[in-house]
Amino acid sequence: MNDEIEKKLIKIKKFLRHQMSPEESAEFRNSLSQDPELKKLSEDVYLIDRGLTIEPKLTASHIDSEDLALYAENENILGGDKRRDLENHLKDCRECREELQTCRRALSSIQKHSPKQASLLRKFLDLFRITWISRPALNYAWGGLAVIALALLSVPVYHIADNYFTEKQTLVCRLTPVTRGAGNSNIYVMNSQTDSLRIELNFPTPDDLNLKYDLRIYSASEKIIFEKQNFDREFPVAIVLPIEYFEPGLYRVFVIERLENIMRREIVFPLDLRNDN
Amino acid sequence: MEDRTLIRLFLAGDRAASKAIDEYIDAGLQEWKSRVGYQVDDIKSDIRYKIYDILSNDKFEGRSSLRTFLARIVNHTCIDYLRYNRRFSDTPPEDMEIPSLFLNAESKMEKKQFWKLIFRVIRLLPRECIALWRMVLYDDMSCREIAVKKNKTEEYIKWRLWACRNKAREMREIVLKKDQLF
Repeated sequence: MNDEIEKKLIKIKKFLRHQMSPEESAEFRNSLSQDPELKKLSEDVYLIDRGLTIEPKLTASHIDSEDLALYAENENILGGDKRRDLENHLKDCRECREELQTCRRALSSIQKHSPKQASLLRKFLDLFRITWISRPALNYAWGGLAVIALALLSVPVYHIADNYFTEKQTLVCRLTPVTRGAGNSNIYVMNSQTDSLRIELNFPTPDDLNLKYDLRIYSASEKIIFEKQNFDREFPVAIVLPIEYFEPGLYRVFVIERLENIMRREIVFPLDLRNDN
Repeated sequence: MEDRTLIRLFLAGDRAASKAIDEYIDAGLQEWKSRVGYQVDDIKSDIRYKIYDILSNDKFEGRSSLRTFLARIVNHTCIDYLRYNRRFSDTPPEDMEIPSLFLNAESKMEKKQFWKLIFRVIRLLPRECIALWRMVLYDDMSCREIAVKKNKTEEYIKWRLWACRNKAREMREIVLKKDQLF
């Protein structure tokens, strides 16, 4: 960056901050069309400038994401004051605590993960691909054998697949909210064919307001199973989730109703999932 | 496979090494999927870029294992997305004080996309770049003043600002041409 560019930068800043007179502003716009370098620089500075307006809002009243990820790895990694501030913040901030828990789970998943070895099928296909170039005759033979094998297998496989897919089921859970003094009636039983859960929520709400909703499903151990934010009210609120998200146990579905950014009410739907055996 | 070997193979474009790193990323993302699920492609593409950028510029110091390093990138990228969604998913930042009722659906969508692009670019930039540009644009400091504050030469500051600007441009190109890496 040379002195000339630094001067241009000062002009761009004035323009972005609306600190130019109408004449200066018109002159600047005119020079944008004549000086491609100035136009390019203005575009870049505008991009960075806008980014700088979002950036502090992301961490406002929360722990910096990189610090939180570091703390999840090793609580001693941050220095004295920083660590003390972070731990004090965690005491009062549920969102950061949840993020920290998820960070730890993600770290542990990656630590435990061992990359898959190439499957036999992949090895077979790789072999096929290599020999295709070097020994075409052999590959035609491979191809012929594969077609015959497919023809022989297709009938039983078709039947197995047919049965397999038709037996899978979606368990529909129509949940009612918690009401004072009432017991939990939202008990649903999964069986070995259940492959997904459709959770339907029904609750009265005014139609005339521009309301927004956030939804979260918590397990009994306070782990967030699912989260959806800023959706409009539709009747009924329904989500379909794979059964892998759930184990038998107690769950709570939280719905937060907002008007613009102000929370109006929180509705809780308990869910008791059980196995059929 | 040892970390160093995996990194070397990954940077050389080895398919198996890329796949192994991808699998680690997926294993970490699995824990975040229920909260940021619909954006998982964007997140993955940002994570891949950050990893490639750090490894190819030799900025991975090896103080922690490669897996821990990957988890760190996955975690803070997901936190950023989650916070962005909480804060701005419905209302673009500049309209936070204006009720969203005043915007029609189309302009709301355009603004949302524009701000999402800005968010991704700024989160892909190194923190040092953000701090330098903040001094220039918000604290109205000249390169000379920044140099004194940072105890560096003025030429170095100018060069860093220039490099950061080019980086922002590069990031924008990458975000627009999604998934060009790997």
